[in-house]
Amino acid sequence: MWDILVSYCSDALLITGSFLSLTFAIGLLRFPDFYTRMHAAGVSDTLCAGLIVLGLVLQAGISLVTLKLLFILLFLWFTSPTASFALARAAHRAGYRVSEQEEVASSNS
Amino acid sequence: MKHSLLLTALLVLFWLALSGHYVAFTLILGVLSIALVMWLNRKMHISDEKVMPPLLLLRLPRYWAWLLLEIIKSNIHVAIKIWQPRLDIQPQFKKIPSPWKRDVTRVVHANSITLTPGTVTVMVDKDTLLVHSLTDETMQALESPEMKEQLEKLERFQ
Repeated sequence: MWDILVSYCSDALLITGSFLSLTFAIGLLRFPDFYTRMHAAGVSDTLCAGLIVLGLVLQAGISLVTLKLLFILLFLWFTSPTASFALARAAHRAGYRVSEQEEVASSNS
Repeated sequence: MKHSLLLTALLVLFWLALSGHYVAFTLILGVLSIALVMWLNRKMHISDEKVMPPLLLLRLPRYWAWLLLEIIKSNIHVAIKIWQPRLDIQPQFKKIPSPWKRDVTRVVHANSITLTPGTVTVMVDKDTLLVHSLTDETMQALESPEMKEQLEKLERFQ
């Protein structure tokens, strides 16, 4: 009984995670420019990865594997914003601007 | 010195948790790799109180719990924006204040913003962050007093 419940929970988490991954891909295609596309990528970094790892944790049960999976999540959540920041900063420093209005806003403030 | 001992203890625990093989050969490899990491740490001067105050480790889990809720909320917000048939976004740049005394707090602030979908930190200055936001709503969430409060608590705890 308990096994079945855990397995259903795990399936639900994995399916929701995969759906968010699909959402991210569609956002990547739909959004108009570099910066807005980065926001779509944020969905796949955080909740999508988190749900999939949690789903796998439920599959693995309590063991060293669980701990390793949670460490993967922790390091992903530490490193991915750093990488995103490096990308955004590089784009901004290279002078990539989106529209006139945004350019004015960033140089005024 | 105290800090190096704490870090060594954490590394030993981490290594034991990841290894899973407790025979002499792998244990020796573990000791060697930890020694290498600590040596590099000392050469890079990244292992001191200023960079990672030990007390912060105690406070961080509570901050993470709050951040996780914010991340879930903005994930849903951005996912809805992606699926909406008509694209309803207001991309914008804005400078927001980040008046923290400690570098760690500023790093946590900038990384939290980037980790939250819908907002990305583009530049970090001495006391401001340049942020790009997908919609008006995600920008408002950043300027809320709640975030400031959480970071103030984090800074006080060091």
